Amino acid sequence: MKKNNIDIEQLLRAFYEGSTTVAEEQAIERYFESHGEDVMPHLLADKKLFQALHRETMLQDACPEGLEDRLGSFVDSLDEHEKGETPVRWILWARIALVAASVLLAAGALAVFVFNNDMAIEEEVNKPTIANVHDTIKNESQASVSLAQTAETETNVSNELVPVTNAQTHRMVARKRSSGKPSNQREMTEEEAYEALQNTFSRMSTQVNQTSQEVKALEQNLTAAGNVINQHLNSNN
Amino acid sequence: MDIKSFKNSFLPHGKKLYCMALKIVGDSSEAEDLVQETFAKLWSQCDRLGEVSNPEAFLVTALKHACIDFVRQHRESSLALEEAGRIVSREASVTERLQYAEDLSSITQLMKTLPEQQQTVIRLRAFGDYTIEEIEQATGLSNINVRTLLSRARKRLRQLYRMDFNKQ
Repeated sequence: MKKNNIDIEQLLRAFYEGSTTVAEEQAIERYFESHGEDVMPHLLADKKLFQALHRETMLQDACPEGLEDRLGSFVDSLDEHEKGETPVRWILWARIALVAASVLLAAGALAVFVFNNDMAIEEEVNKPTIANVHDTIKNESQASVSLAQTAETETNVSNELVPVTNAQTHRMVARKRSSGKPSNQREMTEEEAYEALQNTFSRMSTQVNQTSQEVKALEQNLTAAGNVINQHLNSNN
Repeated sequence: MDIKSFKNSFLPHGKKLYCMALKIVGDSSEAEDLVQETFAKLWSQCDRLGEVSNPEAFLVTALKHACIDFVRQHRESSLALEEAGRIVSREASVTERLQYAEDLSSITQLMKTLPEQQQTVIRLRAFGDYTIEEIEQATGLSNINVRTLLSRARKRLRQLYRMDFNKQ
């Protein structure tokens, strides 16, 4: 008994120092379980804390209603959806579409800028009012700012999607594995598939970031161009 | 391994996995999702599963990995008394069950007052029986940092518990 007390106090000291192993913590658990109400009074608070943290024996058979049925159906569904389209592919294409859309928007903004710039020069020849030119520049600037914001939002969405695809990757690989490949051909492991997917996403995020920066640069050019036109008009007047 | 033998080997351990996940993440629907994710992951490795001699230990390890991402992202979870009550064994006496459910619920409430990293470390260790090395991998912290955080968290909880205990 005395030996046990010495042991338990040493073990508890080590426990609070963070230096006990999982096996030693199991020994502490057994000690408290077997001693019931007999533990030394100064160890009662330790016992209560330890058992709240570590007691396993009380956690056994009670679970929410229907848990087993739901898990069973879920496992069945893993088998059933083997040959279906994988959600991860959909997300991949959605993201490619997002990046493509942002590139197109940036290109469109550039075209609008060039077109409007030509118009502005034409209008300048036709002696436009300063207010008209101001409005054109202001609109273009606002359009490019919103494009930059869109690109940033897309980047954030891309980053958020990475962890979401974790489970989907598992399922994708599961389906791939069970589709029956020749055994001598090495299959991509799940980790490799996930890594490859993350690399792809990372590259795509970089592209979106670049687009975002390009749009910002475009915005700066627009402002600079606006200033030049403004000065030109002012000097003409 | 076909789906039938997969179910026979692994599904009976679903409850245990659920209880473990619930203690770690503190939310019943998240816990159930994590168990499903664990089954999906194992099924994806079904080619290799024929060699598994201890399906329960295998599942627990897989669940630990699934919980890591969750704990990283949601550090302030706690277990409601009602949920704690559900996972306490029906074999124990009513008084014991109620007491344990209260203890479990209050400890997760106290954990919420700890700094983020301490919470993560103690939750993984206490409720998931993660080894120090597994916590290192999960958090990217060094061995000594994990031990220090674990020590601080345990000492702080002891302090809070003693204050609570002396009041009674």
